[in-house]
Amino acid sequence: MREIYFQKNFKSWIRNVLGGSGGGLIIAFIILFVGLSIASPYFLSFDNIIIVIRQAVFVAIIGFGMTFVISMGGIDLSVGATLAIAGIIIADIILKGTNIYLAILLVLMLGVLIGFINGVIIAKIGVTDFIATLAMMSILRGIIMVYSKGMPIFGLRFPEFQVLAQGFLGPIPVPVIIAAVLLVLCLYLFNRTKFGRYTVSIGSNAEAARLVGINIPKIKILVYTLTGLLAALSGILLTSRLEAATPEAGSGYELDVIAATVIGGTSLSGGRGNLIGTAVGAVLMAMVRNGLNLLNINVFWHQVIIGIIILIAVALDSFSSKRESKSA
Amino acid sequence: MKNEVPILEMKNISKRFGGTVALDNVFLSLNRGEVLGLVGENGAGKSTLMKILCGVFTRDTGEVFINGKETNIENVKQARELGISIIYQELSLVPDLSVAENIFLNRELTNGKKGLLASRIKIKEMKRISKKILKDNLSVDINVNRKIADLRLCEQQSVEIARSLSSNADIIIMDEPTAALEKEERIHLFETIANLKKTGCAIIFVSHHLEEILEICDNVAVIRDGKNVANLPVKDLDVESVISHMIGNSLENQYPKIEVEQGETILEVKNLSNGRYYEDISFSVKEGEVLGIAGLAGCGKNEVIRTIFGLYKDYEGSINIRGKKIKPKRVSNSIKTGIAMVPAERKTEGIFSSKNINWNFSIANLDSYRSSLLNVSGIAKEADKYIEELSIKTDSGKRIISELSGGNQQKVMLSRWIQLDPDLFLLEEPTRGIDIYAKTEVYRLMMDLVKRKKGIIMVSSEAPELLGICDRIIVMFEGKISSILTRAEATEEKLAYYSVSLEGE
Repeated sequence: MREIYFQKNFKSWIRNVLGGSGGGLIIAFIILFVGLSIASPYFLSFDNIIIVIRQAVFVAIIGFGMTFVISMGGIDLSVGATLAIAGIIIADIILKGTNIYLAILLVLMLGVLIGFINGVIIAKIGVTDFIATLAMMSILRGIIMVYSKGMPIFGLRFPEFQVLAQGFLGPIPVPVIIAAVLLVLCLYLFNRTKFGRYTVSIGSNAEAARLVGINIPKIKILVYTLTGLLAALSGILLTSRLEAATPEAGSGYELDVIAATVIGGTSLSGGRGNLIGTAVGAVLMAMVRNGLNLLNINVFWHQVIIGIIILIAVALDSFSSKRESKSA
Repeated sequence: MKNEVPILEMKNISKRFGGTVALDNVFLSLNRGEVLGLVGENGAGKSTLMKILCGVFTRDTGEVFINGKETNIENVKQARELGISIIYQELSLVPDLSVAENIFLNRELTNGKKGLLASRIKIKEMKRISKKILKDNLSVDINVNRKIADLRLCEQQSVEIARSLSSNADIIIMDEPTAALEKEERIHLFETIANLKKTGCAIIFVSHHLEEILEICDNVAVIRDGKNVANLPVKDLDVESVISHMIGNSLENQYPKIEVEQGETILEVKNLSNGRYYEDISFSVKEGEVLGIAGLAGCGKNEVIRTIFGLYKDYEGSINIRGKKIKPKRVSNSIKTGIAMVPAERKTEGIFSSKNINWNFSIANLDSYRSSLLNVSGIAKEADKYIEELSIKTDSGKRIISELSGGNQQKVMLSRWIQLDPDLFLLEEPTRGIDIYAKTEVYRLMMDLVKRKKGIIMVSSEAPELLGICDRIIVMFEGKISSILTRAEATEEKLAYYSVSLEGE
């Protein structure tokens, strides 16, 4: 009896920490963390853990936007391409002599514009989100190729730019601090503003949302715009980290971002979102990649293993929530 | 006959779900050739009892005897083998398959080989048996080659019953079988039931339509709060006595109507037309008035009030609120002019089912809970006030709304709007799918609103509640107002009459 009580308390504690969902994620996370710590002597060191978190930042930042999109019942497949175009353009205009801060601002505006267009096409013209953002992905990828002629851009050695993704504040990398600040901001947006409530309400029941006077197109446009902005920011950070931009950067990123969001406990059918879960999900995926590298496992196997982990995390979560609804 | 062993006996059946007792020592007995009516309010426990009988739930205590032999029903398959079969409100037929294929669905007659691909289906034999069952047992004439999709609803029901019979069911449970049937089809179903009785089947007939129960059943079992409250032969019962058994007291106060002095005109609608749904609609609502709108489905009644709420932009004519013309184009503007609407389909249009009470309560009024950021604890506090005031049954505002009963969900829906203090409430089917107690509570809430000088328009397809609660009733037919009746003039017959014909025709 006492054990059951303890389990129940522990579970509800986890649920509280994660905002009501994502129990499967925590279990998967702990198992992997302990497993990798035992399997590799290098895994459990402060430096390596910082490396993992820094690696997770790029997915996590876009994931925050994706959490809004998915909890609204939408999807955005254009984030990887947005990241890439942001990278190529900022690399190019900085090398051509644009002021670095102005360049950052311009590229962030570009992200806003891309997201805004996505939102307008979806909310005003009524193209389904999947198709609209798939088309946007294709268009952006094409533009990148035309713009860069398929060539990567190297040599961004400007200290003010490098510091964005390579700098440290004490022991903590700057990009991690940026991501943490964004997480706090997004948490407030998501939980403590009308905008956040309306976003989730649309995902929970769009018709009911309309009947309480929520301006659905406006919210949708805002959500996709936010995601575009965050994708562009992530592209800037990635470019700063690599000191270069490649045209094919971020291909497949949309899937990593969606995976991190969903294993974090955000419901693909909408109405439920979990930003902290998304952050943990992004770290989990980076941790797996890092661990597999440390264990010298062939890169070709990484995708297979990550796929399996996504399945297990989501299955554990839907299993536990199913059992809960049955016992209720 | 009297000494015959009952085909089914359930004794001292109890079932708990967590802390709530769903069934408490319930007893049920059924003889061959008997039709037993099972009635009770939503949540009284009748569907739990039937699910135990079908093996969907297992009982906590009690015994089940089939033909006098004690049996233990542990799963659905076992129940089916014991000859128990249930016909749900939503039929479970495959629309694209033929009648015969449906009757033998998942039990196809084959050449005996195992394996999905090796076995060959004996379609001729299946057709022959299907035809025989339909004809001999149910006395209906349905071509077994026809697709289910091409059949009328009552014919589909016969197929469903035939499916039960083909698996040798002799205890058939019908769950709200008449809910979707037209009058003629209903007669057809009752004939089928009479034929089934003759062949020795026993039938449990679960329904909310008490008139039907009294017409078709031999005995009636009433369940209230998980307990047996009556097991009586039909000849000793009438509708009133069944209801009083169901709710435990008399019906006198079901409609707590009060007439308040009416004040100024809140809403005036003139010559409202919308090419498709309604034509030349004019009426007004005063402070303290409950205006009912009656009419058949598709008569345009919902579209009229939804136009007032800003959901249909294309219309001609004028809508005035307190003498000022408005052009309702956006819901948010309508809300600002003091109009609220509770939609008919609570699940799909009303509640955010994955969200908690506080969320559902506050969603239309978030502006008053924020300075710059939302004041979550303020929402919870205000919600608690309404939970108390409207006696919404829940332990906390953090409970997910879909865990509440329909009646309590509806109260949350009303509180969503009451807190905004609008002048005019547009209520579509405000008591649909909620039990008798909760209905009365909703009516009482409406009366509280008119006492506070609010105006209410209630669209309803239930004549008794319109008659019981409204000051005036508009009847619509094919998009036009066919009559406006005062409380004194209105009768159920008149509502029915004007629902199918225009005045003076």
